[in-house]
Amino acid sequence: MKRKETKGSSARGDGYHQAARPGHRSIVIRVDGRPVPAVEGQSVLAALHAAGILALRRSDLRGEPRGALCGMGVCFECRVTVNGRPGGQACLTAVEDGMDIRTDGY
Amino acid sequence: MDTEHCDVAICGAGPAGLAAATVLERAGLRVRLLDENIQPGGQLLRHTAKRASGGVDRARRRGLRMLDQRTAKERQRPSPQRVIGIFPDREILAADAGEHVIRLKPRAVILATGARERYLPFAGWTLPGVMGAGAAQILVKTHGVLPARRLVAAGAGPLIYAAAADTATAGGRVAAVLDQAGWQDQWRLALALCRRPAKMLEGAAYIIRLQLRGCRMRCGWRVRSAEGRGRLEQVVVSRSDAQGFPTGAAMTIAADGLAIGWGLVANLDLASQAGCRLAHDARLGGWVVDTDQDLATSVPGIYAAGEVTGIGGGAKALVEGELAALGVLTYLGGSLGRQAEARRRRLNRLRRGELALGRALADASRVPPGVLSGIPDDTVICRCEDVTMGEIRQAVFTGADSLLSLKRTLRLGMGICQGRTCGPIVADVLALLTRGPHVPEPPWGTRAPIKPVTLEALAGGPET
Amino acid sequence: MSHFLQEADAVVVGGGVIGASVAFHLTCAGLRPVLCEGLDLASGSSGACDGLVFLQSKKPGIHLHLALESQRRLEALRCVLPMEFEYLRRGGLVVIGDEAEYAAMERYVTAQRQNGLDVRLVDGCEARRLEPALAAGTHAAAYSPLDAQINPLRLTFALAAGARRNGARILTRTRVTGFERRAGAICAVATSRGSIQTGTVVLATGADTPRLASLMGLDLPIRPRRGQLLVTAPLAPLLRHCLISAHYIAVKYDPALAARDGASVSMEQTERGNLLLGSTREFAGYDRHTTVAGIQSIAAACTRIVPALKTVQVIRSFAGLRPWTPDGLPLLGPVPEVPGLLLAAGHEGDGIALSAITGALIAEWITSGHPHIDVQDFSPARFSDRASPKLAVNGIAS
Repeated sequence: MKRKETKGSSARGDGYHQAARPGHRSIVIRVDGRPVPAVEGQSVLAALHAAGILALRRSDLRGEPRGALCGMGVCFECRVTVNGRPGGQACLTAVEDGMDIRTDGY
Repeated sequence: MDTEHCDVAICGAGPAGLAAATVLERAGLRVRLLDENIQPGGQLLRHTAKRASGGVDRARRRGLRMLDQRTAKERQRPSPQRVIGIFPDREILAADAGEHVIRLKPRAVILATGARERYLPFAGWTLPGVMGAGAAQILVKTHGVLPARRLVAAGAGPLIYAAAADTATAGGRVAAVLDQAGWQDQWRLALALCRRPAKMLEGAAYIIRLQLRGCRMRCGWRVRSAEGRGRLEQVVVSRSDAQGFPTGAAMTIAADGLAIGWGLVANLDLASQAGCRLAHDARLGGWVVDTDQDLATSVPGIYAAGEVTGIGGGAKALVEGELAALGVLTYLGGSLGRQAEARRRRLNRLRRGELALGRALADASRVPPGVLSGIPDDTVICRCEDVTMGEIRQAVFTGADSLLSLKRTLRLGMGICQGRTCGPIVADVLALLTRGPHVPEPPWGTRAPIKPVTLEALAGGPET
Repeated sequence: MSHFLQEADAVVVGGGVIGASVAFHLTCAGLRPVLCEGLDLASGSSGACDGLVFLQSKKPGIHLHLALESQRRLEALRCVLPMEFEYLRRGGLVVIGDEAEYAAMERYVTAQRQNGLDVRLVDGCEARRLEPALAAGTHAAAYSPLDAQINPLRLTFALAAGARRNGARILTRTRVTGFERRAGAICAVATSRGSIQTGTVVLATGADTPRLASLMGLDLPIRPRRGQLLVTAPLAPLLRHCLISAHYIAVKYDPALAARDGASVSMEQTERGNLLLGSTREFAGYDRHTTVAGIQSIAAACTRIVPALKTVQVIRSFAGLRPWTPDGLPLLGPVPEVPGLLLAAGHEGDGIALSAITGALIAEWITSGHPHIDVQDFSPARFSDRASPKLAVNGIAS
């Protein structure tokens, strides 16, 4: 395998490709106060990921940034505050128009 | 807290749960199908974004048909219900997204709780951007979001290829797929798949799709570490020997996503809480629910179907869902007609074939010891309680020689996920450090609520 | 069977907090005991309880006296044991629900003050000033600055580690299968790993003690009483004190009250931030399952006392079997019928709080024949005096 040079391709916050989903309405959620586009029917995790927001919380004891691991409700690494309620699993929560998400929790 | 009565509660709306529900409803029973996911269908069927065909997989096509019939019948999609516990006499508590808790008292229960991925830790595996192959697949197939702009997939087993191929098909760039298993294992797998042309074809399609898009595929390679500031930026990889120890020079691949997985383990939360006897079969994913021919567990009235009885895939789950439903019908007093009896015999035959396939696939994703012994001391193993590999080594060295004593000493498994993620890892680490035991200790049992729920909801809802 | 196991100064049966404490204190007296535990350390009630070292809940008299001395000893052990056990003297509040409870608590607190406990009654306002998380309508509370909490798992491990360091042998996964006697007196303990010669055996096996005692023909009035608890997700500091409800004290000394609606409440916030919320007290045989009714009643009672808990997530529940006795006091000391046998069991919910003094007293009995405190009230003989202890038990409970 050939050694690859690191390309500066991971600037924070720029979007991931999101396929067009015919029949699904485009909506907007708020993430840490900023508007983020989403598609109805999507999980909060998918909407955040599409917006390039991968770090969703800090670990309780070490304070390290953490993001989704399992994506299917098992690992609880994607906990975010949903409409003021902490501890919501982003992967199991469906986006709703105007939903308020915070990623500064533990 | 409202109490609902129904004939059968089915936990999990994946292929097994759907198949069981279809049979039981046709027999006129009141069925409650409980699932915590936004969409029903489980891992195999819920990818509604692109569902036209279901591809070459016959099981998937059948499952999708079942799912469609169900959604057509129901006027509105049932809201996700997470089961939070199962208590004596088959009493079940479930909560919806609005934290409304209901209490179910079914006459019979089918546990179709599926499987989760097995992970092996390495330095940097907690960085955002490192995710399970299943997570990557859900992002791209269910939600139409690329897991990364430049993805590396690593680990063992067919799931990492599937995640990589799906990402590539959706227009993502896949830098490399690194399979821990060497060529010998791959050949063994190919031989086993000879009897299953559809599966073989599916695998070949993945590989061709990846090849066409310029992805590097390597066997006998492993991840050494994931690196980045606050999120994944690069993956350090190297060759690995048959024991999983890294050999040769380390190489660096720039990537903002790393999909990992080493096969699957059964979700036994509800089964162990209900007191169902477990069995250990290393070739079916380790600990599974012990069942008889009719898929009855050791607890009267509780049946199990799908991955919980042994990792074997969607076709096995469909067969078992139907089989468990027939078992429940007999349990509830109905005698099956001659036609149904014949169907049961046929299903049992099919099931044996699927189990054999499951075992063959498991061989391709076994965990070699070198992967575990190389984990650095400061790597976090329990992500909920931030317990490191060094602390585990120290605790084992000072006498904690069982899974339960490790739990009590280090709080492993006492966090919010109740040890679902670190449990299988710690079991492997303990076996490695203590060179035994040959019959592994059962996994930590999870306690109700198996998924968090507010005190207000448990108290019976807001006071009026 | 390894040859070095064949003899021991004393055999302590049970690897919970009491057994570990007895083993540790025996080593302090220069003995080399063997501790036998059928499973792992703290796998019974010591690993399935809250960590309250609550003085206010102890019966005025010798019971409270022991608890006070036990607490002093626990504080001293922090400097002696090789492991830290998260001892926090936060002070405690007994939350009083209504006027009737207030009247009962008034008598109780007066008696406790006469026994030298620093405790006073406070009105609802002051209770909320002390503990702002309490509900707005809180009637009153009893407050003592002495009440404390501990991590029971870590305390058990610390005592066992201390004992091991001083020369005790800790044998886990070693089941005791029988006792050999010569002329009535104990001469050996049979275990799943072979026999150990010894003239002294301490049963510190909590709710399992009657089973082992029956192997020697004894009929002990200890019964398992299930306590269920809830654990919340870790939170930022919410509680400044350890809390119990006055109902808790009432239920503890009057089983008939346990049937009254609502669980008796105990609450503490651990060092990690999780809240431990308890607790039921039920006679349900040896069943360690949690129940819907139990979980529901704890959740309802706790959210009533601390409304801020309503939106807090519960992450698991568990249950332990407290060793109940008819008079609410443990069985400590020698058993007249079986020379060489001592009991250190039946602490019900007080095992953690009384662990240090229990270990010290048992060690004094073994080494000098009499402890430094008169503990006649705890003597196992108080039940053998009765014509039929079993009958007495059935008369009282459930």
